[in-house]
Amino acid sequence: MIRAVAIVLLTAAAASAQGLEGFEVFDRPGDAGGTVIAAWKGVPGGDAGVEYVVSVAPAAGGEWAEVARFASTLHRKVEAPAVFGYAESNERENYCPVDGLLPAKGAPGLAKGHSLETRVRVEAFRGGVRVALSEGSASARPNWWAPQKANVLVFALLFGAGTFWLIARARRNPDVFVRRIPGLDAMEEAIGRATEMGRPIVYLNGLNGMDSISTIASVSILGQVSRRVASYDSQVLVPCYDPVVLSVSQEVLREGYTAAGRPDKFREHDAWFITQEQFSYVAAVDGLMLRERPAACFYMGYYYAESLLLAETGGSTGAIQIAGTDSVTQLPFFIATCDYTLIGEELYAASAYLSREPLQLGSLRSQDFGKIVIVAVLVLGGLVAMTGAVWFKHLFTVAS
Amino acid sequence: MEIVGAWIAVGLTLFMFSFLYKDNPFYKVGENLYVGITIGYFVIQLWYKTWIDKVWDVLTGQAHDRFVILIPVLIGALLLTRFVPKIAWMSRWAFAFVIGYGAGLAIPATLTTSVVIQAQATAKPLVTMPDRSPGAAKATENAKAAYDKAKEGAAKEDEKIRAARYRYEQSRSVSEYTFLTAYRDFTTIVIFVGVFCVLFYFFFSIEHRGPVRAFSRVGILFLMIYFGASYGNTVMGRLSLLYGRVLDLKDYSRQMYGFATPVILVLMIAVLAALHVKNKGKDEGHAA
Repeated sequence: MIRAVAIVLLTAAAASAQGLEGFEVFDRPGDAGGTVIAAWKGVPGGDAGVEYVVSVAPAAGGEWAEVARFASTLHRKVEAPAVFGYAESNERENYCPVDGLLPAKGAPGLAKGHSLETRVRVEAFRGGVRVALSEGSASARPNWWAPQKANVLVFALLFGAGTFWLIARARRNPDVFVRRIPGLDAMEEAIGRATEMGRPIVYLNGLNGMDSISTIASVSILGQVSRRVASYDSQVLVPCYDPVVLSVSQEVLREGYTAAGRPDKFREHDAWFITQEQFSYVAAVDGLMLRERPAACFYMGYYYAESLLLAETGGSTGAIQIAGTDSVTQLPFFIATCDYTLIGEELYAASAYLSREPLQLGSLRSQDFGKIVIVAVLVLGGLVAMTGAVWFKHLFTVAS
Repeated sequence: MEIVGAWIAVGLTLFMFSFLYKDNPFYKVGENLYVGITIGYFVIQLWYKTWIDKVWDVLTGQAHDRFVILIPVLIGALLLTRFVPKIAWMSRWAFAFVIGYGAGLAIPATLTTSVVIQAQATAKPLVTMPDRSPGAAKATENAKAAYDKAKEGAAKEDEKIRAARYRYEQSRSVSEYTFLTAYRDFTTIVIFVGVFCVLFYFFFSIEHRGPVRAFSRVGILFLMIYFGASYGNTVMGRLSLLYGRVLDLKDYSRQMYGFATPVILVLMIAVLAALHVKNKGKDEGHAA
């Protein structure tokens, strides 16, 4: 009898369950698709001690399947600022991301990121009694626009526009000041030494491909080095790790020799491919250094764990060594083993300084302006943060 | 078979280590073998993992859009035009594509991780103002109560007391200006000064004179401290790799592997000594 009454009471409570406050189901904005979101503001009467159960079913009809069960203190909107922003109420409100349902096997497929219209049901239980229930439906789809990354887009556009403007200025007036970097004088000295000793120069472009900025800078410096080498009638050896970099290096060497008026001295096989395996490349280059005993070694571009092995071997042959890399983890090894090291951006600056190309000079000037902006942001950000305001910090937040 | 594997492993390891003596025939064998094997491996990898998996299987499959794969194949094939000087210029289209998509991928990612997020993380209050709100005071009170309770607990578990004290100190450092708050502010200021001065070091559009020179000097000091720490950290990692190799050599010294390490080592030393004597004789002959 008591059990029957309890069942009747529970059923009545369930039947009279109210809806969740501010409940909505929508496609997750700014993603690659596949996810819908159920969000709500709370339960009538407060969410203390409430447990939520989230279930999904195809909108076309079908069984409900439970996909999540969590306490009301979890899945707060504040965890997803990319979707809900930074409102204070987000600390009290809940949401739940759900995978959009896909067609059954054999049924016509959907484009990538799209899902079927998915029904989402959220039930709130307090002490085992359902106190609220809401349902909604949405279909997932990929989005072209990711609003949470709008700040990155704005910075990229501003920085890009500034760069183009400065490049245009450098084209009109190529006499752009770039401070002298000590390592550059050493380059000249190293090439001269190689000529006097009658030994070759070994020039490495690093282990990255042509899509890496440091490789582009390295190849650009190779162009200037090859001009000097051609005019001094010395020899530069360029063992390559990447076939595309090899092709570009050969072109650059050819241009360098031609620009120096010595196209006949250009030997295509002075730049050659070794292998695309890191340590066998090192073994081959180390062997080359021991056999050729170069007068100078240049390590420009991006390096990994092989940096110390290369520079130690080069050092043991008595060569003048000049490195330039933006690989932060390998810089210490080059600094310890080389005579001169171009640190990070100095590599790009060296490339611009030597080539005097408006494109590079404008980019370098643009980077300097970028640094001024960052310094200003740091100072301003520190001051604004001291007032307790968080809006400035949010300007630089890439929400997830 | 295991013994053969051990002898090959020991032999090649010692061949590569013989580089520490000087360039010698053993190192040359190791070097050429290493380069040859990796090139062979990559050719096979490219054939099966790229050509068969990503091109051939797609083209011979049933997907209605399978012929789209021919576009990247064509772009890749343009690189081969370098072998024909008259149409070698076409390879630049492929290079342009590679560099274009590389930059397109790299710029937003670099801007996000290296500029926007870093700027956000560095822009902290240089001096923290205590949070005088009732909420913060209440949180500190609660944390203090929890700490007192933990101290009075019968079990007197150190770990629990430490955790409760940590929470209390953290909470107090928000509502009041404590030693912990001062320490945090000090750290923030050090990071701020470091970033500020390092940025000055990397200014190329102005001559480093006067205050700019002073800032850049401090900047390079910060960089060198970082490089020193990074160097030590990596050297420790490399030493552990060496330990691993030496332990393998020690393992392979046992009878079950046919004393691979000592036997190969003695043979190598004997051959190197013989070569040394032979070359010395030659050098003296040349000198005479």
